Amino acid sequence: MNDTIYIDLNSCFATIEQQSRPMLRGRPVAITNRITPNACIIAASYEAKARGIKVGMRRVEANAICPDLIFAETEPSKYVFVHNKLKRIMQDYSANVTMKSIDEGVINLAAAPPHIKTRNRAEIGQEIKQRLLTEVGDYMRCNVGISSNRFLAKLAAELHKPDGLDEITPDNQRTIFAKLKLTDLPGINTRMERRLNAVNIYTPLQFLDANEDTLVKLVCKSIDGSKWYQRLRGIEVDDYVSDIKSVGRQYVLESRHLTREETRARILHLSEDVGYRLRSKHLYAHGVYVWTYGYDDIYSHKSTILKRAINTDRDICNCASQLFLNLPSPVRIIGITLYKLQKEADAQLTLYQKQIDRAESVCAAIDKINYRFGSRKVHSAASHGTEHVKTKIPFGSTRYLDHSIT
Amino acid sequence: MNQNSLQTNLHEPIDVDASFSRSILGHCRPIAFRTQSGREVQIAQVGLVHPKYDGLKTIYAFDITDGATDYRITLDTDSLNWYLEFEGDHYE
Repeated sequence: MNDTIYIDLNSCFATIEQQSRPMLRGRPVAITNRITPNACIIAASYEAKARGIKVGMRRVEANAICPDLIFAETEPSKYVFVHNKLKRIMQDYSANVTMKSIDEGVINLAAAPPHIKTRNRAEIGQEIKQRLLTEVGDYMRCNVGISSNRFLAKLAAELHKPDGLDEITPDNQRTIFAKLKLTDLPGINTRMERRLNAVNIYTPLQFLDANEDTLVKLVCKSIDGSKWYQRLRGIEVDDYVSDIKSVGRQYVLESRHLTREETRARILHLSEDVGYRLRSKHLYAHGVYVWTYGYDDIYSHKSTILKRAINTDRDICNCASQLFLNLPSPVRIIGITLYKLQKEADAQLTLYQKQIDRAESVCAAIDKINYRFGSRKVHSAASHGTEHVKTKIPFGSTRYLDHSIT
Repeated sequence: MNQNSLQTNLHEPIDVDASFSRSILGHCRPIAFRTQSGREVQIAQVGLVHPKYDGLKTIYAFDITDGATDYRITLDTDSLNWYLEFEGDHYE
């Protein structure tokens, strides 16, 4: 039985902007994080895609191809609202719903109540499409893929964009695979394609017919080969929740003429943001990693492993500033990541435990104030004047899609 | 054309005529608004209605159009006041 339904919003951010501003409908629209000449397009409407606009293009390049392209700046609160709406619609069908990113999610109907479990899958898919139109907006479209595991359901959702609904069953799988390239399969990039080519696998059908030993011993050289063997046969191997391994943020500096002090203020802003995220998950970090990208595209980084796990803004900021001092300048992008996370503070007390406890209490009080009255109502003086360093679109993780994005 | 750069953040108090219904969208629907200067705008279409949060305060943003210009009006759920926030491009 096909119990997995994959929902993918079409050109998510661009479609939401077109839903939000009716005057943009039917026009080529590109979404960027900032309206600057070098801004990178992170989403494009179908009208823009038809004119050759691709995600990742710089604004100047895109303007040269499509002079009447309309640029809109991202507004995360809208996307989070649609994400939450979609999630609630999906949860009406099963308790087991996983949002894979801000614009896609999976319903596992194996956990659904009997009156839903017995319904026709395509009918459920069609109903979700209709509910998106009536409960979010009449311009919203989504792709629905139905199959027996996430991999095949995602593939089904990608077959007919936009607004498609496809089902992959053992009966039609070979016919569908015969029309695809290896890189059309989710999770197969050009590197994996080269590894498959090396063992004479050039098509999805040959991949499907490959024996498990070949995939384990020659292609993946690990247990991943076995997972691919099962994935291709509709067996679920991707239904797991991974722990948070790191918490981080990055920021593209608005000018190359910022002083070192101004850049440091932005580092501190990022530190306070990652500190808030860390504490919101009740975590502590042993590792601090600061990195920069220069205008010459040179990547520089410094990291340290601390003896004591930290989670206060003061500790994170101090550590990040020290690391940042050793990095070259001027820089184009700055980032900070906390890693080696743990759920509890260190059991071993230190000589300075009183000061540490006091700093943690101050931090908890500041978090409460900011939660009640809005983000950054209270922050360090050193990061003053950096209010424009706002959180942008969280592409990968949906862990922090809450009130923190406004 | 730059959609956003021509927008200005106005935050101007406005009067709004709205209807309230039991629709599936579960919100009020603005019909027209008047600015302080007396200009009246008839709302032709409501695009997206979404909440924005300032701490625990919820502000509802209504993205609307009169058929020529996009606007954003907001309802502050603490004070129940309406504001005109943005007035977008003319697309002609």
